[in-house]
Amino acid sequence: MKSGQSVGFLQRKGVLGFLFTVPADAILLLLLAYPFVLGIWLSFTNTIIGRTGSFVGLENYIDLFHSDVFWLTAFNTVVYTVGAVFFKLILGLGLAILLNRDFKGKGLMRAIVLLPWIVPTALSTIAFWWIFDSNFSCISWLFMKLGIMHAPINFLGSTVNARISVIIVNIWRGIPFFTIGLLAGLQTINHTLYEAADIDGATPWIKFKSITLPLLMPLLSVITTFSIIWTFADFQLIWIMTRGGPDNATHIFGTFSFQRAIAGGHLGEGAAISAFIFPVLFICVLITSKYLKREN
Amino acid sequence: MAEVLLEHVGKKFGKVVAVDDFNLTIYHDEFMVFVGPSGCGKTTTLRMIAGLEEITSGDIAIEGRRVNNVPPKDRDIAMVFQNYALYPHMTVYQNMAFGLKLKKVAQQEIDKRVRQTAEMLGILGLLKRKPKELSGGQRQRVALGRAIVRIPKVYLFDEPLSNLDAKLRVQMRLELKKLHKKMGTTSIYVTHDQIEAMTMGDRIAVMKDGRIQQVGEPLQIYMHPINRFVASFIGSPTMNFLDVHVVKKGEGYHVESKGFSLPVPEEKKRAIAPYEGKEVILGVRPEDLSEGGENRGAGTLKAHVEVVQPVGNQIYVDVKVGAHNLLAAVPPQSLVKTMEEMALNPRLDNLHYFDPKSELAIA
Ligand SMILES: Nc1ncnc2c1ncn2[C@@H]1O[C@H](COP(=O)(O)OP(=O)(O)OP(=O)(O)O)[C@@H](O)[C@H]1O
Ligand SMILES: [Mg+2]
Repeated sequence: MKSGQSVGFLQRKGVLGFLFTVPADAILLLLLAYPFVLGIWLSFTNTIIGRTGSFVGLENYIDLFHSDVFWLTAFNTVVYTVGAVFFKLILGLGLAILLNRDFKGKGLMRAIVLLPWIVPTALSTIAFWWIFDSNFSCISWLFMKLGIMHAPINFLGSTVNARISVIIVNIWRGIPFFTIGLLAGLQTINHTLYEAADIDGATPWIKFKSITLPLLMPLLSVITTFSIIWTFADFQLIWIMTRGGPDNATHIFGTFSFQRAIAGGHLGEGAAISAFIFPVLFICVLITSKYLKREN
Repeated sequence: MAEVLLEHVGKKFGKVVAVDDFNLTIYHDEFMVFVGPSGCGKTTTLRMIAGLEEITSGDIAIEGRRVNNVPPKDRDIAMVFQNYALYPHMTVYQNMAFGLKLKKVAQQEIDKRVRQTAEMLGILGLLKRKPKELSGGQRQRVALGRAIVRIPKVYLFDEPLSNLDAKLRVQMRLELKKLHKKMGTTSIYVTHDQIEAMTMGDRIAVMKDGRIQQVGEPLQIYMHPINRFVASFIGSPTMNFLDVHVVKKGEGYHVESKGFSLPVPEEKKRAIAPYEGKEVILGVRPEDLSEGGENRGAGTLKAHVEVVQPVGNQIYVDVKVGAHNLLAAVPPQSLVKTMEEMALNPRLDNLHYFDPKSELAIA
């Protein structure tokens, strides 16, 4: 064999495989790693829009640790994520179980459930903005017409109401993801398992607890992780509804970072804020993949 | 200790009649087999007995109690599903213990029963495994075990052996039969395999299009099929059917066609008399056609051999007799050769006659 050497090199385990993935690796590196590294770098500088900054070490981070708004934002982000994901999970699962039953017009119902997801968030959020408007809210109008209340509810004007409102909209938008994903999971569960359980004497609750839930668990954990990631790193919905207000009560990392970096011009500080999103999401993914590995 | 009674039971799925006017008593401790072609309503009937399917009409009673509206868990039955339906996330032990736990049986008693049953089925070493770590035969045993530990009044089996390979199936058949001998619990067993039905059933119910065609002991059905369908369904290879003419010859009758004339035995004389001069269907089982070296008299058929298929314990021979195609099963020592002539002697006492219109046996 004349060309023995070059063939040997290409055939060495993994070499050819690696070469084939190089283009994809390069694209990933360019599109994901570059902005990531740039962001981290910026967070160590005092860059302002229009002016190249200089390295300031941990100054941005130290400043944030002394900022009340930052801690409020961290608190808001956790409340927003936990509250929204919890209810999305419960309601999404419940809806999936309902839609998994056999009834007339279930095809139509399944299509309707998808609606919040199909409508662009910007559009649907504006609709909610109107629903929650302090003067023209249709909910307030209805309650006032019914004589239950005398003044309109200040949905987005008070801290607690505003938080609840944005969480509700997030739940509304996120339910289809849970429902459709879990519905697909439910349909893979062999129907005769429930019949076997019927004969074994299981009540509906025991069937849910002992068959549905354990068999759905791997999928449920993946879906929940995704939802946590998206909710934690949300931006669009809150920016349209409240811009983080009132009084920073609905600021989450995404919106606060954007406000400091783009609206306020402090790129370095903004980058430092968004850097807090990474470790949390990383831990999240780690836990899920550990769990899935154990399940297998 | 339980008798299962089905009276005029019917089931419709919308307009599809799955089971129609099903009447049957399954005696206490009996091993009853439902057999029939695909789609004849076997599974539906079994599921109605289990309570997994509502019945459209009629009554079902277990041990004298009408159970039409009793949920499955209160019928005291155990079912083995065709696809096993083992809980995939539970170990073998948990699978077997699940029903007992729900019945609030004491932990000690559960443990004792599970181990006893597992030992009997030879799966004691598998208790900690999950279903996906088992072979088909092992899963089958676990499915059986899950039913057995319950000690129910009635066992329901829906084609439990159909997923196994031929050898394992024969072995499991035997084990099931032994098990039934030992436990003596009323069992209803569904299969589409007539050999399985014949070997396992104390009695067999042959079904077609949602209706029972014939109920009886295996040999009784084999020897005296009530109609053409049962005759063709039970027995392997399938019975030959020939259109023949009834003619009177002297004191007795013959059935004739181009190329042969067979005397009707004495005891069938009365029954066949009304068909004199008319057509009937003659049924001949392949195993009732024996090879005759020399002409043995009135009943011998002159056959032209077309195809020879040795299957080991027998040789199947496709022959042409007159205008009819017949299959004969002859001993493996036979020296028949393709394209040669051979003489076949039908066992005259074992021939079957059917009315060409109603297809009912003439007897
Ligand atoms: N859920 C259902 N909805 C509508 N029709 C059904 C349903 N279940 C069964 N059928 C129909 O009822 C008839 C009997 O079905 P069944 O499953 O009892 O047959 P089977 O004898 O068990 O057949 P196989 O040997 O193929 O299992 C069939 O025509 C079938 O199509
Ligand atoms: Mg069936």
